[in-house]
Amino acid sequence: MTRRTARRLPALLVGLLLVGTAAVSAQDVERIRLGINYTAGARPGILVMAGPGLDSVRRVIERDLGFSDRFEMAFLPDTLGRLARPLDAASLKPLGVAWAVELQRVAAGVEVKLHEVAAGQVRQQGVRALDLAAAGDDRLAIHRVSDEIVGWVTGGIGIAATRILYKGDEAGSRTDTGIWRIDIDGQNPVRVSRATGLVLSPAWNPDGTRIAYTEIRDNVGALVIQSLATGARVTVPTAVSGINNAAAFSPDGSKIVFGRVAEEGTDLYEADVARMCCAHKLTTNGKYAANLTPSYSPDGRRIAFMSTRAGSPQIYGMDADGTDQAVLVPFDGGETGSSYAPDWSPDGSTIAFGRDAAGGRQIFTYQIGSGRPSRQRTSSGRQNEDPSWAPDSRHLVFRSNRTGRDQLWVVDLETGASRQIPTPGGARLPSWSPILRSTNP
Amino acid sequence: MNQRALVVALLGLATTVGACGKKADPNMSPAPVPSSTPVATTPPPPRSTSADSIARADAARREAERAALVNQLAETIHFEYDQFVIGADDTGRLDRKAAILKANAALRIRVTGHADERGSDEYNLALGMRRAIAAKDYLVRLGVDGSRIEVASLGREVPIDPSPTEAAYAKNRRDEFEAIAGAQTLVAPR
Repeated sequence: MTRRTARRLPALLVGLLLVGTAAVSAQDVERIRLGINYTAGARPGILVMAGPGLDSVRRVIERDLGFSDRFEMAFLPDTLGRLARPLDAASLKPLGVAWAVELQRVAAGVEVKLHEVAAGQVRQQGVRALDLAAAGDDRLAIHRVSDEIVGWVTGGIGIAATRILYKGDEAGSRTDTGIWRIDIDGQNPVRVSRATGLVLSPAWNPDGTRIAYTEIRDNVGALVIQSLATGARVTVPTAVSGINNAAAFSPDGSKIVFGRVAEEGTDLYEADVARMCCAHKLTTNGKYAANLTPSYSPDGRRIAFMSTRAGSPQIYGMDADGTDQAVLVPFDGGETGSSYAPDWSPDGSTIAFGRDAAGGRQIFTYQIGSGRPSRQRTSSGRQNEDPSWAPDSRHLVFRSNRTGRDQLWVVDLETGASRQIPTPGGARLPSWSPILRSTNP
Repeated sequence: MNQRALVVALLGLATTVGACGKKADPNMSPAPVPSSTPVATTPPPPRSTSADSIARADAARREAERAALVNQLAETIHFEYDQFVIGADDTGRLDRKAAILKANAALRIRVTGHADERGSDEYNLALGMRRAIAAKDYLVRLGVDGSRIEVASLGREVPIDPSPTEAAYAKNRRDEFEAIAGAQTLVAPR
């Protein structure tokens, strides 16, 4: 917690009066809050102001920039964030914010300007077609503006235009409620699976147009690939017995690897999903061993997975064709707890996974080849499981029971800040989408 | 000679199955029962009240015998956290199942392993499978033909008790047993 907020408020108030917005009441000042989870000086300050009729768009972008964890945010109430005339960025200098985003309605949509406050200059601008009453899928267009701003200021990858797939659970119920999809700001939850059985383990294909999941009926788990645009389903040809689950698409989308839980053992298989054929086995460790939860490296050449071949579950790696199998995440100090469900970061550098630690099951990351011990990234609650990377390789979504039930949480590895993604019911087995383009369903 | 080898007719008796105490497993499907009230096609003549009462007593005894067999077959076994070793407490239960299987050559069963909610959900599917295989292996070691035993896993997905408590977790870490063929008649083991 920082006292910086209190120190800044008078300056912010002065600055806003200079901008010439509506009169500011003491109550408004109370409602102003600045981000508190930051390393002082490490993140640029930013605020978002908008002309008439853009309050809701402004709020969405403001939240998106906050969730990027890349800025020191000034969250403004509508009365303060609303511009009566074009923004005079020089007037914001007393605030100490580095950047100001200005939104104005124009005939073709919304004009977005990025002001560098200290220089008093517009650094980037563009007109974006936005549906101002956007709901549901159309909100992605607003999220893309947020990601554009992140790119303009930081050169980094914004994650506002992404979604998370998860398995939904009805609270306290044993009934399966399917695979759901939710925007990462917690809006727009939609049940997407078209299935009659018990479903598990959702995964995105590389371009975000299709999903894979497991559907268990009559004790057999089929691997289903479903189009998000049409809902059309195809079943991957696999062995007819066992539960085929925890699928991962290869980065080029042509293959899928998955674990098959069966009497002869739990092993990894690969199938060709371009031709829908040719499932074959990649691991063999006997019927009491498990090889599960594969994750491709971004170049598609390697696969990380969990294996119990040496007794306790640990993170292994192999070439994508199944050769060169070896421990990938080293045992640390001989006291390494069981480790589960690895996910390979999109930048290729890091493996995230769940591991038994003194405080229960926690999320860890291991920087590949660094020789350094894995880093513990969570410490709240005793069950933190199944991490999945955001496209920016700095955020992870995972399942945690820290509130007493399974919910989705996001942690920013740079700041350590975490937040819950509020879902309609219980939620687990999250999978973070790639960046979703305007062509995505 | 065959006095103890009771051939227990299933028809008309299955209605007792659901009322056999807390060990009765809700997931243990009773064998198929006709929906109409099953009556003997040749009802006993009404003239002998003594014979009636003997017949009723026999029927009641057969009901009890069959219910006991069904219950023994369905008895759930339990596991320690993240383990698939058969506990000493459960060997007796598996021994009785093996005896019933050996006395009824047409009987086939499915063992379904379950896990508590802790741990990776996908790992728990594999763990449940290993629990089912452990029970199957035990029965095979006692001489049951392995082809008569199917194994399956539902991981953590179908808990007995969804509460996040140690007591609930202990109940949920289990193997369930279900007859999938040959249960129309059951012979008690000698």
